[in-house]
Amino acid sequence: MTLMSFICATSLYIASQNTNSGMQTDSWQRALTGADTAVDEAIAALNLNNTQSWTNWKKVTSSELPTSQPSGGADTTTAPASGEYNYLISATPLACPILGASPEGNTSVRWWATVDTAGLQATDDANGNQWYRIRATGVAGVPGSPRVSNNRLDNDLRKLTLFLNRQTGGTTSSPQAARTIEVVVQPVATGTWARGITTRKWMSMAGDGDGNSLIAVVDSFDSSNAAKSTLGLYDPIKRQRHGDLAMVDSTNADLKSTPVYGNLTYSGPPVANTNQVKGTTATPFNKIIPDTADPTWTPDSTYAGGANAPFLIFTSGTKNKPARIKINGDFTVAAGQTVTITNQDFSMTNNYIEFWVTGKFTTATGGVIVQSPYVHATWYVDNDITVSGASYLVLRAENLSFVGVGNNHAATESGIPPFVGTINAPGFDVTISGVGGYSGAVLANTLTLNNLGSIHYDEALKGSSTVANYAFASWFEDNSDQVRGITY
Amino acid sequence: MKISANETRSAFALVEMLMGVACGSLILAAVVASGIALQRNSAAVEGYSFAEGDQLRVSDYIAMDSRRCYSASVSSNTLTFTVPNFYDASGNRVNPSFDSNGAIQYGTVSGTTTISYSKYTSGNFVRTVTPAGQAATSTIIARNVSSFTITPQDLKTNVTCSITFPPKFTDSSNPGTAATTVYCNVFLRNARARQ
Repeated sequence: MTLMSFICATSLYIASQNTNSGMQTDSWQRALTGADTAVDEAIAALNLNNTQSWTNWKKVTSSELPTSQPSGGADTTTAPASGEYNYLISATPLACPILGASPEGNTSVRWWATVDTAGLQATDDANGNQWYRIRATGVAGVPGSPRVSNNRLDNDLRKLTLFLNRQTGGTTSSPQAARTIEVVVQPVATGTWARGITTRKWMSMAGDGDGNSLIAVVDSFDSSNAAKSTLGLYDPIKRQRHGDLAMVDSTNADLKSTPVYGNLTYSGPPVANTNQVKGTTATPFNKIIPDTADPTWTPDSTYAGGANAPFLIFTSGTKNKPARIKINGDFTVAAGQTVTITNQDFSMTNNYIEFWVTGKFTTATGGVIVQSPYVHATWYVDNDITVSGASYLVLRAENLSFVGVGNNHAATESGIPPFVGTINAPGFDVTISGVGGYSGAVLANTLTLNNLGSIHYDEALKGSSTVANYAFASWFEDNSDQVRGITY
Repeated sequence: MKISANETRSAFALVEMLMGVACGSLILAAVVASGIALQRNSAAVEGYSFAEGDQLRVSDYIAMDSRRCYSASVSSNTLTFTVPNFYDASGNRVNPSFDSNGAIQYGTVSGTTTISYSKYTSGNFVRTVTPAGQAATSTIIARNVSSFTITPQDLKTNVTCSITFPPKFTDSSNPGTAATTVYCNVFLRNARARQ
């Protein structure tokens, strides 16, 4: 009987230990769901960033984040500034719905999240928007006796708080499993020209991933800043690092190891060969890219299109009353033709002209459009666009805008001299293959960079913008045990 | 001295004795059998529990590092993650910052921390952490592992690997107890790790 009792007791003890270990593992895994929930709450608050989204959040003035559940502070309706943090604590967990029941295992998960700037400066963002750090902790109770797992290796991973709180160093009377996530979120700017390249679908770049010895590059410069450009033109010696890319649907995207001096933001499947993206890669990119539309103005002059340009010279209007010309059909600058667009005065901000081409826009090899540096020209084109740096001479990207209207069209840029301007054609498949590169910005359906089809984003275009959403730029689980000096 | 002929002696009859011995033997056999069964059951439960613990621990370790890594690679059946330098040399957390290219980094120490997983020939499954500029530290996170296989083509979005554990409790009457293979498939949460 003694022997039997001993065997029975041992069996029960082992079973009890195993149950304990299983419940501890369960609690540790549930704690992560709590931390994830806290991150989601913080992202939601930042994305909406209004009075409603910050309801129940508190703001504390401190440059140090708390190591335990935060307290104090005042109600807030805004995101934190430098030297502050906002925090939110989960509501009281629901009690077990069965009165008098004593369910096995953990019955509650609670969490808290803090949001702060982490010392990141808005001036470091291409559009001057603030990045934030979210630190979130999920806590799940550990039911049963507060005893360590029967397998020591479990203790190294799960670092449960049984008697000693591993985050604060104090003691605790309620055993728990806690997991902490730290996320850095990047603001996604809304402006049309808030970044160098924006596409609804994929980008495919030349790179050297396809064995092409000519390597394209995406970077930035600032035509309005002499320290970041030379005579307002791109200068590789003064290269800037805000050549940002964004894709709404990254299916089939391939950067082919093209050097990108900027950030990549996308939604959809992973972008292939991004190893040469120098900046941050983040997801998601939730910005809605609006369709372009034909102008609604009444033209000052109307021409019939054809195989040759219908006019050889035209003078701009003013900013308040631009000259407006409509070409019914294709607009073609044939070989040997030169079309000149002149200024009506010598102001850099008061010479505007708008064209509306209902057909294709084409500059044939040997055909040239010469535009005065004082003039700002906008071309609304309802069909394919074919242009080159050799055929359309402009010094500043802000002086030339192509607006592609409609879907399933193509825009092609080529040529040895650099092309300077912008293409806003969300329904067009754009191909950049000019050896001289492309200075300005592109918004397209798809984008293909061939050969040395480099794109240099002109930061002078960006203008003001708000934040469409926040994208995950970094995700890290802090599983350290500061009290015991354990890190990874 | 006269011995009384009427003196009676009590004893089991042979049949009774045989019955008693038989019953006692049966009871003892039952006790011994029960004890052995209990011990076997206890060993089986413990083996199952430890095996389950090993499997959960290994998959939890790999999942945690997969989620927080900046890149994952496979070489010679060793799974290696690079994670940010989240702690300084003293083990304190550091704040995120922008590097010269505008990418988020932790700390000012160049390079990153690597965490690798591999199975030794001894059967130990080892996690090795090498913080930037510091010596590597190896920790056994499971013992008696028979195989570790990684599917490298899935590193673009997920880390997929399998770890096979031989049975800890085997029955000589049923030696064919199958090994347990745990599959770990974790999404790489850092977008820079997905390409």
